[in-house]
Formats: sequence, structure tokens, C-alpha cells
Amino acid sequence: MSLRPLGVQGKIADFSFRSSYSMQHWEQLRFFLADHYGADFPLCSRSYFEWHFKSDAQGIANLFSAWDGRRLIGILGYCPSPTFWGTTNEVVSAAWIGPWMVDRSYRSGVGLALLMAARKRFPLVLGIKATSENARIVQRLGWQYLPRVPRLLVILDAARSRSFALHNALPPCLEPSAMALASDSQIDVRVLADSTYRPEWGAYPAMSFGTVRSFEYLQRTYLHHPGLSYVTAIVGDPLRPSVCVYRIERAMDDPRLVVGRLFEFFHPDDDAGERDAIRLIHLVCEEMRAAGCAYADFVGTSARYGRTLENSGWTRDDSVRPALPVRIQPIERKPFYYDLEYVASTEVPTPMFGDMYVTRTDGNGDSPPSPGS
Amino acid sequence: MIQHEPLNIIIGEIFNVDPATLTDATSHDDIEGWDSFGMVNLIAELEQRFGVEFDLLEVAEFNTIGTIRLILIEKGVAL
Repeated sequence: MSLRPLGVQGKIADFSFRSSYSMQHWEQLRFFLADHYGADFPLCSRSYFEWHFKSDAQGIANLFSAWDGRRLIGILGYCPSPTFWGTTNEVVSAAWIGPWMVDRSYRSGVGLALLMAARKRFPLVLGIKATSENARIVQRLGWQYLPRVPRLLVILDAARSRSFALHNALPPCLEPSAMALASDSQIDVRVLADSTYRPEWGAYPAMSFGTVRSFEYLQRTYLHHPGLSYVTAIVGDPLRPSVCVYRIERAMDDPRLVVGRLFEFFHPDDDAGERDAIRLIHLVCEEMRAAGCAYADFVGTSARYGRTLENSGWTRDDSVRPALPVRIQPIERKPFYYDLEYVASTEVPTPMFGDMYVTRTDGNGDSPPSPGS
Repeated sequence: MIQHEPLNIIIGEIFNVDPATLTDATSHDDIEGWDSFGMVNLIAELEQRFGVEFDLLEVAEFNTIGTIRLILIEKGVAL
């Protein structure tokens, strides 16, 4: 006699799993998210959720879900992303995952089952900004894990930066260097447009491991973001552009703190490309300074582009306790890091983290504090 | 000397509990440490010891020792 009722395929006992989510059941999902993350969680906003998980015209969103009968008991969101993985000649089907949450009453194997569903569907699965518990789990499962994605900083207003720094002092490495951030009025900067942005990716070997920064990707991620305003700045030949995407962020609890956030920074891997990129980032820094930014930061894995930023006067901050706040909604003094984890099937390579191009917007990691509902 | 069930011994080792206290009705709610991370450890250990692989529906059902035993038996594991 079986103690466990066996049902149709995809369902044993009362458990079932779905690989996409019908927005007809939005209220159930919103309740689940609010219950587990709080009512202010950005994804509790339907418009933000639909943008994040690419809900299509039929109202189907990219979310694995687990059910006990008709009760929603677990979710794992995913963002399918065409990704270069080893070469810029072809893409692999990858997905950025998160949020990952299971109802408190069902913390047995449901969460792991959701993760298995993602792994079964995509040869490459990546995540950023995992909770400490989820980070432990994926490490135990053998995923590649980077506890701290490098953060680079540039001080734009030293006095103001010091006033928001830990102990009101900047470490020596962050004191503004003698290098002036020269603006360049001769540089021809354009904003993102289909006609002026068609990179030949072969010129960008440092993009060989990362989500393809196509026009559609940049447009959707930045120009169509439902809650945040970004600037996309491009210089150079449309086929070999140097690119910078940033936004200005003002702390909600102290309007004196304004921070420049750099989200994309890449260029062709030759002298002209790097020269254009340095001129561009200098101009962007001047814009940020004019906007009142105390400092600017960039969170990204790429060793190649990190080097260009360092050649532009930026500094990598590896301190255990970041001197300047990472999160400012509200201003947070305790250490916060972006971690990165990924697992690849045996058919695709396993790169070093520094060879990857991942920034904090991958997996839509740059979220508004609360865009409202 | 009391002979404990092999499955109970493994679970006792993983969660540092006396196998004698474990029954088929024992669930994750009864054992401290049998949380999501503990579950990953348990599954990895069972897959390694018994040379089996669990699919997602089986994993989702891992809530009591009795259910785990049943799943293992269905996979041909002699317990």
C-alpha cells in the first residue's frame, strides 16, 4: 500500500509546480509577497512586478511557483536573458533568478524544488544580492559564489563625502587624487537610439561572459524602467560605441546626500575605445558633480573595465566596512555587499568572476525603494 | 544493542539528534536545523549514500522521515 498518493505527471499529492505565472492570480501573489517581504517591497507594485518579470500581453509572467492545492506556497522569479558565455559570437539561454521564497509552513523541500526547476530549464542560472540563507544554500549546492562584487568609487565632493563617511573620514585610498576629472566639451555624446547603437561585439572581448547589452536590453532595463530615471550616454562609432549608464540618487532621509550611480560602463578593447570611455566617464563625473553628488560608485565584476575606471581616477574600495554608504534609502551604515552566484551546466565554461561582465542591474538588482502601487 | 533504522541513523548524524528519538512521523518541524539549508544537506547526503537522484516533486515532499523512506524504497533502496 502506498502512503503517498501518486497523481498525474507534474503533481504528486497536493503539490504542483508551474513554470510561469498568470497575472489573473495577482492578488494571491501580492499577498504572498507582502506577507513575506513587507507591504513596501517594490515587487508588491503590480506595474513594477510586470515590468520586472516581463509579463506578456497574455498576462503571463516569468515566475516559477509552487502550490499546495490552490494555495500559493513558494515562488522563484526569473528573468530570461540572452547571455554571452565564452564568446561574443553566440548566446546561451540564461536566467537571472530572484526573489526566492517559500511559505514558512512549507520550508521542507519546496524551495529546493523551485531551484531545480530553474536549473532544469536553463543551462545557466545566475543570481545577485542573495539573502544570507539563500547564499548558504547555493554554495552548498556547489554554485560558483562571489561574496562581494567589487565596488569602485570616485569622490566628487570631498567635504560632503567626509560628512557621510564612516567616522566622518575618508580612508587614504579614497581621498581625491591629484588627477583632475577634466571635462571635454569636444566629446560627442549621444543618448541611446536604435540607429546609433549597434555594437559589433567582437570588439568587446571583456563582454564574453555576461548578459548581452543589446539595444533592446538597455531600452527595457533603463529607458522603460517604471520607477527610476537613468541617463544613457554613448560616444564613438555606432558599431564600436563606449557606453555609460547612470542615475542620480538622493537619500530620502537626508537631501544633502546625493550619490551618482554608475550601472553600465564598457568600451571596445582598443586604445581608441578606452580613450573614448575615459573622456566619457570624466564628462559623466562632471555632470554628477554639477548635480550635487558627493561621490559616485559602480558595482561590477569586470576586471578590464574596472581597470579603465581606475585609470580614470576611480578607486576600488575593498574595505570590510565600506567607508561610504552603499544603500541610501534610507542611509545605511552597516556593511552591505552585492554577492553573485551562478551555476552552469557542464556544456558551458566556468569563468573567473573578473572575466564576467555583471553589474548590479543584472537581474534587475537596482530597485526603487517603493514605487507605490 | 539496539539496531536503528539506517535512514534514522543518517538523519540523526546530519541533524545531530539521537536516532532512537526518530520515527516515521518525525517531520522538519520536530528537528532543529532541518530548515532549508538542512534540507539541502540531507538530500545531498542521501543522494551520495544511496546513489540516487531525486526529482523536484520528490524533493518537495521531503517533510517527514516516513515520506523520505517511501521515496527511497520506490527508488529501489533497501532500507
